Amino acid sequence: MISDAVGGILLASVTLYAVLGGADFGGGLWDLLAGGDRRGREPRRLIEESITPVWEANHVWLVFDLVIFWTAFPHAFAAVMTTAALPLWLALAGIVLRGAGFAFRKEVSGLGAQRVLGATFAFSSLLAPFFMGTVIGAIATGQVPADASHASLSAWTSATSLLTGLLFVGACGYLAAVYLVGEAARRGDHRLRAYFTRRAQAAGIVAGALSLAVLAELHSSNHALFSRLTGRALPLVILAGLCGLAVLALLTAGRPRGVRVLAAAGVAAVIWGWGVAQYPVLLPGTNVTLSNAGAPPATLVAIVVLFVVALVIVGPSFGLLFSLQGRRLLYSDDDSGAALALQPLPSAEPLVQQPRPTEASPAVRTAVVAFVVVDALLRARRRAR
Amino acid sequence: MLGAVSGLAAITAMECGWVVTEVGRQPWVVYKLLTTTAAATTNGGVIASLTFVIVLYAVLGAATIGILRILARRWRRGGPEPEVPYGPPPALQEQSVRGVE
Repeated sequence: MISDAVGGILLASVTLYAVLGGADFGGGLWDLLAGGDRRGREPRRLIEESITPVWEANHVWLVFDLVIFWTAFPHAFAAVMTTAALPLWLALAGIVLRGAGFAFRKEVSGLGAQRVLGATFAFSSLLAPFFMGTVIGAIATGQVPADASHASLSAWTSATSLLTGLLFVGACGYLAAVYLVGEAARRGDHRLRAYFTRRAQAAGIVAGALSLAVLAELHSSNHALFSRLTGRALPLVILAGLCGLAVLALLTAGRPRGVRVLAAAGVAAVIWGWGVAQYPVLLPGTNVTLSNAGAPPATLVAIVVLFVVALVIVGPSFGLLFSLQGRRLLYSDDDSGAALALQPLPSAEPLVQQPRPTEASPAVRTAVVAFVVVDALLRARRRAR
Repeated sequence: MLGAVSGLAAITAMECGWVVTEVGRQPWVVYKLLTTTAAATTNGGVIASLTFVIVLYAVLGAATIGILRILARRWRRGGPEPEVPYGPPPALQEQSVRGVE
């Protein structure tokens, strides 16, 4: 069914936002916890250098998520936006403020102003994922009615929702710390590698515990979802757990190779586990499903086509961005080169399949040429009309 | 002088064009399909959230202007160029400057 395909596309772009954009939020968490100006200088610098060239690109996926959700499933979208208006507002404020704080901090020279802007960046990096998590919690526990007409405070302040909010923050911190371990290792910085290894282990344990807590809470707050998570979605739940344990084991053994992919795969498995458990219901507790939530088939077909076109356009751009980053060709204020923590993520999604840095140039060149050709064809078609 | 005014004029023209399309379409939000009244949220707190957005963006706007002024002052003072985000590495920059000369 075409609506199932669009549902898959929606979940895929949510996954991309989580594993790429989520790590940016996590960077804010570690910036916040890095301590005083002097002690936190080195870690803050690694975080900043890793995030700077990619954070705007990573947040493209949020726009993608919202537009697909809105266009393909307008009834469900309206219900979620109305019921969870307040946390969505707060998440939006967090996104706006963290971007502003991050961009402005680089430009001001006084230490005081830098502290204020840095704190704005770091705090709002926590707000955004927390409130997004509470919204997902509200959806998962069936607190979003199909015919929502007003905002509800109790919908997103249940124990499950608040725990989901905390889980989102924990998962963001976990991804960021794991990516930063990989980045520090690549730079040969042993001190920072050990620093972020400790944090990645702690965040991994916290995120794992929070996942189990949410699962336990679901037992009472949405038993149907719970039984499907431990039923047909069980393989994905187990996969998520195995990925988390493998990351912890590799970090403890001091072998950071591949941990980034494993950590991202673990988070992706949690998201897809939720999707599989809920399928085909969009809003649990109602009869709103993928197939009856709104858009006519023509719209859904258009979305699938547009998604393919967007992949052709966005894929090569991301490939170029990540490979330039991987080869340290993007700016830095010293010789070390601004390499990126949010490295080529050979995650479950084919979208960000990056060529490895060393063999990037032919692949990237092909991608750029392909992009230019497609662009020229599209233009020619438009002119012909 | 004219150059400085044209920057402002470009933004004014863009904003005016936007106002014309938005106001000109009323009372429709999607022409002949959906009225603005029907599309509006049924939630309360519209004034509160509008106020919140205005305050937030006023603060951000003021900060942006302030930071642009800081950058202009730093540039006028001379001294080492601050790093250009996403710019080429220093070695390449020097090459291109020499190339221009």
